[in-house]
Amino acid sequence: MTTKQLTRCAVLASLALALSYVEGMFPPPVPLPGFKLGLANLVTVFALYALGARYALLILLTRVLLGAMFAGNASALLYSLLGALAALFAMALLARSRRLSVYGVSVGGAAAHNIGQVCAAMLTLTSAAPLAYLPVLLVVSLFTGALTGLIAALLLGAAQRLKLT
Amino acid sequence: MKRSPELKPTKYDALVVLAVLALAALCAARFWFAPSDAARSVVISINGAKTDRLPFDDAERDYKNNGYTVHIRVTAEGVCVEHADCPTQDCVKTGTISRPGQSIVCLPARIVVSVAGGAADAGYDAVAG
Amino acid sequence: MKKRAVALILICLLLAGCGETAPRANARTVFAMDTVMNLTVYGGNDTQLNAAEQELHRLDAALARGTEGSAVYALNRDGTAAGTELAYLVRSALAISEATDGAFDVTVAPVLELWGFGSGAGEHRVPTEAELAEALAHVGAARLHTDGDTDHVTLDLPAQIDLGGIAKGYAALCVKQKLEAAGATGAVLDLGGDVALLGTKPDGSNWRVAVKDPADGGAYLGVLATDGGRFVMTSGVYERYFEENGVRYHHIIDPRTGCPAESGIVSATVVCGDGIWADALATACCVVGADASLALRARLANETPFELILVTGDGRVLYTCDGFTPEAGNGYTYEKVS
Repeated sequence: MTTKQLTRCAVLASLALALSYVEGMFPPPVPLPGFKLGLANLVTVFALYALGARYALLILLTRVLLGAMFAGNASALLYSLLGALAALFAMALLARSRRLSVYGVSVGGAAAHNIGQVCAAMLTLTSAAPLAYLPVLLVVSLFTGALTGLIAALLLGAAQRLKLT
Repeated sequence: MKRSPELKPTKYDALVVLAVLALAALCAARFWFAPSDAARSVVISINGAKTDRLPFDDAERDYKNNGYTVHIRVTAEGVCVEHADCPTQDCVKTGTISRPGQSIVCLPARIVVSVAGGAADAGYDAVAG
Repeated sequence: MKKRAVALILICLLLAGCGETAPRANARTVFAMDTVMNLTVYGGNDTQLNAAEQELHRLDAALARGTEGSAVYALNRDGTAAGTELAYLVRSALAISEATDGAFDVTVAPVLELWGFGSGAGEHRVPTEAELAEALAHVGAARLHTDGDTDHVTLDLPAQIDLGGIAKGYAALCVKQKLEAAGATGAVLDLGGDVALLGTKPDGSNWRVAVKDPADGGAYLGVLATDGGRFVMTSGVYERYFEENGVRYHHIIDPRTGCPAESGIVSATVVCGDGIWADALATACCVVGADASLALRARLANETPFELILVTGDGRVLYTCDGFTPEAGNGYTYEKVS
């Protein structure tokens, strides 16, 4: 890892942490403790395109681990970890298709993020009840996905113009 | 892995949206149209210990404790204490219960009949009122 | 690079595994104070639960006026009694009577008995005016006295007291102290629908308490999210009542009229950091009505802050707490009052 790459990862990881924090100030759409909208996925989308899946994974793990440490909350770690990993996995797969734009990839990632978190909720509560929230969450993910897609597209466009990538 | 990404929405993006919507509809259909009885059951506890669990099928049982006998009747619709020889008869007066979280209490016999399962298991830690 | 990534993933999975082994809930059902109580202690052990259960049985006997040998029994018989616990409870009761202008009163017991709502298994009936007047003559906080800071309590006989209106609130406080002393960090006490929340949940999130719909035992008004150290106590006219000549008479008696309160409140839920106040205020709010309850809340905002969820007879739910999420589509009109 070169110094440049390390710096980039660090900057993106801290940006993702800041986004998770901001996200925590909004009430979650469903009454599941530890649930998050997934705005921090923006960084994953950007990193996936700008730096590649491997770096995106590193940034994501840093964000999730540090975020859980700051919050001092072990069960929230499972939520964010499963959500974030599912999102990255889905997006890395979708991004292989040249036909999909940042928007489609981001929407798919947001949906996967919510599915991952519902899985985490089912694991921690050892109950299938959280599954009932999934339909609502998937619809919500269309909006969060489109929003992160839009911002990622703007960022990636700017990065291309500035020849940052 | 690095490459110039497509920054404008394409028509294939709509496919992703449709796929997500289809998944949402599928989940909703599975959850909302499935018989809600699936996870429901009648739990009988005596002296605070769970002693019996019955499905919502036609059944009649007697439970004895603390010198009293409570006769419960389960149907597909719900469960009730049909008769009991306790002095207060509160358990009989409670009538039929069917929704998760509801319970019939016979204080003299120290028997609690409750409906467990369904979505009511999650979401809150206690019920006030 | 690859090895490091794999190592990182493994560490994460390990940590995630730790998150899953959250302390298990240890629960106990106790039959005391004429109700079923469910105690749940997270990461608790049997020693803690045993201590809690013993305390509940002790209080059940100590606070009932029918228990010969209890301080309350002695006070009602002799007009004088001594006891640290009794003096503390009487002092609290007198303070609440004063704060509520007599809407809560432990000396109302004989009137409750007339209606058949006493602790004894009396017959439900509507008393005559003469009977009510006779009983009301001995009702009033002014008949109950504490002697400075001592353990002595005196009562102007034939007035009688019953601590039932604060018994569950006090029991919740005592059990909370027992559990804390035994090292419990998070627990939910459900004392027959009156809820006490202790400390924190294992995952650090807020406690969530569903509030029952007074009209439908299986439905909820909404869910209240709150931090630990709170007592959620509910009183309602639906809990006990009887009908005579087509009129329904409920068990919440206004100590000032001697008759069932006609305040328009169906149920009042009080969320407060003090169990005794929460218990008594829930009853007092049913007696005084919505406007006076909200005024009382404003008046006590500094000494004893509390939050309210009031259900009125005309289908409105007034609530003051930020953490309350109303249940949709049950026919109630919800109003957030600040």
